Amino acid sequence: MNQQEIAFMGRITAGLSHEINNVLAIIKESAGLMDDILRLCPENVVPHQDRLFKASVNIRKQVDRGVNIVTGLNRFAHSMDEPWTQVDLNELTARITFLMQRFGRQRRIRLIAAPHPEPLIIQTDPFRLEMLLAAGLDFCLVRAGEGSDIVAQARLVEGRPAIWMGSGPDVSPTLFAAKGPCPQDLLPLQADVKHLNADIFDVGTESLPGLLIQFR
Amino acid sequence: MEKGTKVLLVDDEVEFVRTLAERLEIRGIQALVATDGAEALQVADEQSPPIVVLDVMMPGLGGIEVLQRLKENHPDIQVILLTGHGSTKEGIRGMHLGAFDYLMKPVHIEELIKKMGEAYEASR
Repeated sequence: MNQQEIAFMGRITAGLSHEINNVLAIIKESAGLMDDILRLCPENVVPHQDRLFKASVNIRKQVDRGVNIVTGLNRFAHSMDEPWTQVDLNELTARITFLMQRFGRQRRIRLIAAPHPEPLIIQTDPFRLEMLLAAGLDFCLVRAGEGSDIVAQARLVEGRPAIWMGSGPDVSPTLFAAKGPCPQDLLPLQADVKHLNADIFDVGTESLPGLLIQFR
Repeated sequence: MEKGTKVLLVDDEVEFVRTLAERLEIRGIQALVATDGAEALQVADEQSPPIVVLDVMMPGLGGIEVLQRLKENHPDIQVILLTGHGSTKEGIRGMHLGAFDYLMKPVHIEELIKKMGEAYEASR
């Protein structure tokens, strides 16, 4: 996809996410009004009043869930605004982990974003980096066992900004001592990796997948 | 905020603004409604509400422009902006232009009422 196509996708997605947010706002207010009216009624006048209250609570809970999703979608849409810009790897890692949650859930695997204690700012192509991270998470998801966690962590490795994705109890510095070459499955993304001024390494073991994307 | 205080709600989403108005009326707040910027300015001229709750993204006369005109013609009116999650920059811009504060849609009504109370105190 060229930049014009990406920008078009981003613009439309941002617009639609705004519309969906408005719909959710109306649903939330309507459920709230139902609640208000039920509370005005004396007890036992409205049949099944407690079930109506429960339904209203459910509606609002799902609206909050919808708002979360739409916010994530909107941020994803805006990641397509600029072809090359400043990005905080903490924010980007959190965003892609959120966007990929569903795919983790389908495999009963939790995706967790682990931020660096301070912002890790780099100049990059946010959309293509998101695509690369998504491919990396897919790589880990396929290899991790059901019930496990996959962590996406923004960190410094050898003084360079990096993102580690993997499964396993702890991330120790020795994990990055033996960096293997880019895994076979991700070789088609080498052009993107080069465009992003990064290197990608296999830092997994036989039983625990792990990838390191290190920026130059 | 006293019972019967007038608040003008401005949003192009008719169902949203009418339902919110109904909920505020239940709580003793006199809610006026406008569904576009031009109507909002007319109602503000006629009714002088101390508080305006104003959607940022509206077709035609947008929320920021309405805010600017309100502050020119009615400097004592306090404006609370409503923004979507992708429009927080507009909320911040609005505050630089004199808005009292901004809230994200969908709003929690308790949070909105609390903010309106603070804005009402600021308007006195």
